[in-house]
Amino acid sequence: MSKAPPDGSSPARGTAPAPAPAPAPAPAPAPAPVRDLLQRFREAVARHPSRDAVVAADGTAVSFGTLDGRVRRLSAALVGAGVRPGQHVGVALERDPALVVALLAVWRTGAAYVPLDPAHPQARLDHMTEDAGLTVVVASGPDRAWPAGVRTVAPDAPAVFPVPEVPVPADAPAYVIHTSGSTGRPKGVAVTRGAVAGLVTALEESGCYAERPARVAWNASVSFDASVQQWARVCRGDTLLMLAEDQRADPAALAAHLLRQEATDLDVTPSHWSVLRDRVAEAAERLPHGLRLFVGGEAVPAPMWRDLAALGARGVVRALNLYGPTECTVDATVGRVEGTEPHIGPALPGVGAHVLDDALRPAAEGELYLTGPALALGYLRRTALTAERFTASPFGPPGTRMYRTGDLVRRRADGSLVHLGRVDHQVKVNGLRIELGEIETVLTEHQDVAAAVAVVREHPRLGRGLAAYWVPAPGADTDPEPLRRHLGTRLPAHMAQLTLTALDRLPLGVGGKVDRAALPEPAERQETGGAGAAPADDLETLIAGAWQKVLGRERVLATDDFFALGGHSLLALRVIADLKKRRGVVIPTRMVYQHPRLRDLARAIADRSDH
Amino acid sequence: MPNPFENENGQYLVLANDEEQHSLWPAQIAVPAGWRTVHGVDSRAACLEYIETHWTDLRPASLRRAMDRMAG
Repeated sequence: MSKAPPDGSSPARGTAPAPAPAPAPAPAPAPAPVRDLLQRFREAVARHPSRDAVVAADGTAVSFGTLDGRVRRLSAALVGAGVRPGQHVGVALERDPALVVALLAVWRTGAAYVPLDPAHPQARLDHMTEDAGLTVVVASGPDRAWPAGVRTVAPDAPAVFPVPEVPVPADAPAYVIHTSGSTGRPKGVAVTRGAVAGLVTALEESGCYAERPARVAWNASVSFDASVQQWARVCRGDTLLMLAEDQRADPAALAAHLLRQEATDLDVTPSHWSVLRDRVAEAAERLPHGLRLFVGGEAVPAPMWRDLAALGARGVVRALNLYGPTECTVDATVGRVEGTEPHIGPALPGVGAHVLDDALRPAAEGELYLTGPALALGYLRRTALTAERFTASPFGPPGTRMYRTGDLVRRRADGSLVHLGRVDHQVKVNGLRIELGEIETVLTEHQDVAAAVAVVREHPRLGRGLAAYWVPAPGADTDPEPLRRHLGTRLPAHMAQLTLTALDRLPLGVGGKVDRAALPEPAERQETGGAGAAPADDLETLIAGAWQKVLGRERVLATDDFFALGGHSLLALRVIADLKKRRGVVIPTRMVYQHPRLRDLARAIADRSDH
Repeated sequence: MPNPFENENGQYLVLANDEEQHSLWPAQIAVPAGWRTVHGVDSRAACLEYIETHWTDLRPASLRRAMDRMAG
């Protein structure tokens, strides 16, 4: 922490190219000693028990002292429910201070948490519950049925006896986060306690955090590991500002909230920033210390990079570009957003970043391999897959492993890495990692589908979106609706929002593989011919107006499906903001996902306001 | 040329370290220090099958022992 922050204090440092020393590849310099995060949390509680630890979206604050008490109670209740060190405990809670209580309480028992997003389909949650061998889930309501043998514990459950904190080895698991799996099922990445503590230390060491106490807006869903670098900051004494869905969706509301709460730090994906930029940058001008922006999850487009660099030169936002797979504990590299060329920076302290050719020799351009204590244990119950991706390492101490990222990079003269693309079919849409193979597998599991392929398509107006193509089984109906419902029961919203195009056959290239480049424009996105019902009442007309504006269409029917028209989660945010602006109608994003058909959405909104 | 770990027709080894973690490894590349060969040379599929059957606990051996002591 004695180092100067890399984002500098003088704007003049801005765009001057660094005097290029010899490229310094891995191994990275020895990291500072890493201290356990629960120990640091205890110290923060003792230092400033009355400081805000967590502020709910409605402004209700929970102090460090109060949070500590709630964590102690819940950990005792968890032990009472049978939780033991090394076990996995499900956490199915909304974005609320109780979520922070639950995550810390699970750690306090020596167990690892497994996020179970209540918005995900039941079948997927059941799979993750079974995969992680969960017997206890922290959940607040009885509104969901868990598989037999699973006990639920409320986050405010009373405890009979206090229990001591259970220290565990640094390589004990801290959490298991499921990511998309190419073979059709999500895979659970088990990340260690030492690695999470190391992440916080590495970000401190590389000057990513200010010296003064921060107020950190928690933006990412706890189901994605970007959330870890946000919520774990409470352990170093920072304040967490929880954001509600409608604040995340509405740039003006978010900007007002950041101002009111005097936020200092915000995490965003580039896609989300593209929606928030104007309002949030305006708010940042009025914040006493500007805003630190942690950008990550997908590549930053060059125009956005230059805009962020310009905002940085003016001291409005100081943006850092973070790169890292879940398998290497959230962040592996960090780059300051300056100059004109997007890059992901050099490796964080303690992380080895090796650019290798096909004979595993160091190269200027090639696939990126990561080494160091940040590596995850591997994939739960998938040892063969683990052994394929986490392989023996010719670098670093004997007997250690390296993670094969699948990311292609180039090393610049100054040591920073430039991301060039993927070697496989993993894609990022709106910052979320998706294996196209998982969508294809789920599609072909439906009886009407003989073959299927999924791709990401760029659309000039709609941006990046998923498109699936399917060949109907002999005699099967070509109606995509049953298929869309099938996807909705198996995949989370960000993977089920796609266009469905039926084809007689998939275009094949040399070698008999599907020629993805030869796939036609998605059929559903095209203008509606006229079949189907026109919007009937005020509410339907209002929604149709919002859809037409956001999707750039002249006409939208009451029977149209938002995602079939090329809509996706970011565009849903725009629809919600538009509805709020036009008529003061505030609806959660989830409602658009649950009712993709215009008429169904109108009915759901009407039903809700009747109550 | 494909990634050396992704050659369906290639020759592979299965390596293990002192923590009983396993690794698929391309037979034509020198085995890194601290790893020993426990299976192969064999096909990629056969090596993966060997790993699936012989490596059943993801935890490093030292962690497994430490957690067993805590439970005991």
